Amino acid sequence: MISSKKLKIIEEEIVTRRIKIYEVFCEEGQQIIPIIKPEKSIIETIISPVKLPDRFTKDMEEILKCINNLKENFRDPMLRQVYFVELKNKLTNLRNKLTLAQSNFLRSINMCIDSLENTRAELLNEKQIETLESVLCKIHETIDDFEVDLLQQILIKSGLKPIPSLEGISEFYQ
Amino acid sequence: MKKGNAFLDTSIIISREFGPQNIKERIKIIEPLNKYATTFTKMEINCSLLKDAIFLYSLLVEEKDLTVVFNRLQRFPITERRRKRCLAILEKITNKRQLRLADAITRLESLIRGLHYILFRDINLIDSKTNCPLANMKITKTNGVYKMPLCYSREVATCDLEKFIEENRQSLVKISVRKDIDGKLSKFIAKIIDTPAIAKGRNCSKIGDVIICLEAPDDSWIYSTNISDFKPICKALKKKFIGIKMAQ
Repeated sequence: MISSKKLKIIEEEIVTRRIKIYEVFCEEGQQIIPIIKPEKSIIETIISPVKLPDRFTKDMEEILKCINNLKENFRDPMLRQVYFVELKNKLTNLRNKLTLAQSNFLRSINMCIDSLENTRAELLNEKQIETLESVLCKIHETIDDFEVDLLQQILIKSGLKPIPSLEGISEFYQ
Repeated sequence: MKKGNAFLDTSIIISREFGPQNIKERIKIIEPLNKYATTFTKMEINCSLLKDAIFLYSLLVEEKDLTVVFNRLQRFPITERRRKRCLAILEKITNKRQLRLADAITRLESLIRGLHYILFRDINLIDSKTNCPLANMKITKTNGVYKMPLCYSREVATCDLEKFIEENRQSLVKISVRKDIDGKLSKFIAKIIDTPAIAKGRNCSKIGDVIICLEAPDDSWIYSTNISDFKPICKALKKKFIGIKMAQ
């Protein structure tokens, strides 16, 4: 569990990192990422969305479109099921394009897949879908392990399980 | 602690998350309760499940093929018990060998980094009086592998286990004289009552269940799936116990 004191330190670290990125981007004359001082919720402010490299932008756009459909059709359990499976498939397609060279990106996508694999469409609640959407918005190719850890904690807090299912393994640890 | 609070042992903490579905259903009875555990359970998880995961990770990142990892694990010089555990984890994280090595590595990484967070997400931790430094060790990732100090020899152990044993001497005597206690445990307790230092280092795991029971507040219910070991200890200490059967 992260204490509020530690969260404060984390927030400061993120801001410092972002300033460094900002400086590098300025030097290279590229697009500047706005620096947003964290104010409200950690989910919304700690990791600002970063422009994805072109090769995965399309995949991510499709995934976000799919989760949007899932949100819009949440009240219809049958359609919810359909979009739920579509979302899983889209995430799996993206996963298959990634390698260990993008290990943190791959880990983030696998976390989202595991979150969906460990539940069922009919058991999902709206808050979990929103959380998943906000997490997906923050995933990008150059995400670091520290940011992935935060996203993992956000997913766990919402009741999702972004780890591989180890059902039955407890019998080996008696 | 309020009435009806649940004090969880390591087996329950692991089974809640990684147990078979029918066991998870039975464990749901603790969900509405305030859940507590001693930090000693964290040490037990670090030295078992987490250690297995860290070991497996090093195998996976070293090899370029999942089949090689499975074959190596079959012959690796570890105990059969440990081998079975590691193979079971490997089967799970590779979805029965259907996933790529890269997926297995990143999924295992999520398990290693998120294990404590998911297992203890709603459990209030009480600092163990044994002051076990292994309970609060942080995992580090250096040079592509995860590391965490997971074992201390008796000579270098900095915990307060000796003091803990001395403070609980009377309770330990009560446990050791019971006939329904496992013979080996009973003999070991008799030994440590005479020479508490013996319990330090690797030996402390032998009295893990006893430590957990001693640390449970009197007004809480101790929950465990390890009924045969916990029941007599709780009886000796007059602690309230609820056992959850693992059998089908």
